[in-house]
Amino acid sequence: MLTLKQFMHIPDGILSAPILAGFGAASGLSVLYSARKAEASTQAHRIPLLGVLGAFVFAAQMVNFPVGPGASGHLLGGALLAATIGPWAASITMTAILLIQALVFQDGGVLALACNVFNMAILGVWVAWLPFQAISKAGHRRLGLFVGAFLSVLLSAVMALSQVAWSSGVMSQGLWIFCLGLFSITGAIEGAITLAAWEAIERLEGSAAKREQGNRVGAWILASSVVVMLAGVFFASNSPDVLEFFQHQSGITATASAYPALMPDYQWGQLDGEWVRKSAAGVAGLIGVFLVSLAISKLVPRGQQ
Amino acid sequence: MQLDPRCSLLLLLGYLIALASITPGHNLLLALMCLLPIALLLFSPVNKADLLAQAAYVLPFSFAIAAVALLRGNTAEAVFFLLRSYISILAVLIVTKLVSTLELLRAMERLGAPRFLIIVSEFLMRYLEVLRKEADSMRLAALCRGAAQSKLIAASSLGMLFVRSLERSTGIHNAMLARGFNGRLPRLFPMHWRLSDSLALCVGWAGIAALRWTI
Repeated sequence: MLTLKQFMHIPDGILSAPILAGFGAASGLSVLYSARKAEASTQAHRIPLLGVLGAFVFAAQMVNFPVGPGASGHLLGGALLAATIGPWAASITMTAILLIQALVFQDGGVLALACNVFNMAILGVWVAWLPFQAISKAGHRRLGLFVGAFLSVLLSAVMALSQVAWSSGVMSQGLWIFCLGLFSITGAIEGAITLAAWEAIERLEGSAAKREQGNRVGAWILASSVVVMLAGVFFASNSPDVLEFFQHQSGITATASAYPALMPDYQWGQLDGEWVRKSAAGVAGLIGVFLVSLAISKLVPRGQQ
Repeated sequence: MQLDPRCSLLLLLGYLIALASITPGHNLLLALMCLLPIALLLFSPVNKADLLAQAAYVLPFSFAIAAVALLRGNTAEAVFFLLRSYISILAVLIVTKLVSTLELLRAMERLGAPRFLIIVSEFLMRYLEVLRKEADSMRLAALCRGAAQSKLIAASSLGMLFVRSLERSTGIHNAMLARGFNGRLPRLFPMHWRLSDSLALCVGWAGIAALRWTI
């Protein structure tokens, strides 16, 4: 199965020369500057620390987090690194991770490293760091970390997909919307795992603040899903998506329309306005999926999930 | 003849750039470019079947792109993306089998990559296996306790791994100081660029350019 982590590591042979040249220049300059800043701000004892933390991110990816019935995810690490060692050192550590992944594990291309470094080590780290800093200053450190991790994964993946789309021209609007939904879910999972790891680190280091009341992470995942879903309604296209295109080509549509649909065309009932009908259908779908997941998690014994 | 790692790296980059510059629709040119890594594979002292199988690792990603191209009716484009990504990774695999990762990292340093980045990468390489084993032991211990599906245990394991990584890095730094670390890692085997490397680089780049731009 193709995981998002694999999808974010673009291999060689997919991207076009102009994209590689453009992002190569941007990544090269950014890494040179980040290395200079990280070296200037890093005491000698932090040199092994950065290497060992890079190895930690690799090892941490072996620890699976249960994220729902029968599903698990793992840490990607950019936001956690940015929050613990700062953005310059985190950029260099992430670049080192990507370099080793490309050379030793063939996870991402050597030439495509230009784009992978830009997406995950530069953009991924800074979009995690900036909201973390801003929201932490307002006194909501955990919220800042969650938002940072969510944006880090979402924007890195969107940028990777954009590079593939600009290079190959094979992406359709329907596929874009599907991928945005997928990336949002993965971003929310990364946020929840980063937050859980951060809290565990704080507890172990003896500086854990009083735990916040209620399950804020769950609430934020739900809130993010609603925001992404409502935004998706605005940007959704009336053109057929890939599956619909395939249905039309193969003649499946005629068979499929013989069955009554609960919410045809993703619209609910007789409400006024197309946007309201689509939003209502989206919220109903989201609540439905949540209730089904909840029921499965209660009914299926934990060991079988 | 053993080439300088810098020469091998520059030849690989030259080949990958030439390959990236081929646009979809030029499948014959792409097929001709495939001859270079295949010829190198035939004459290299590496396990050929293993490398050919290992190069398939990239196919899930490329299949996703090719499937979308296929759904839009561009069969030639789908074949192009599959072949180009497969042959690119094959070229990288051959070079990484012939030249060690440590040598490639040092070649990058000598070619202008930031020294700080290379030192961090070397440390990462060195402690990767150590921390992987540690994470594996913690995962096994959690399984033995029957806590494999607990979010709390997973978070605690990650936190513990982080704290152990911090402790280990402090220990490593102390050991380095005891050995007289002054901010630079000594290089035991300095690289020597010979005339044969210049010759191989010129001939290699000329061959790649001739194949790419004159056919």
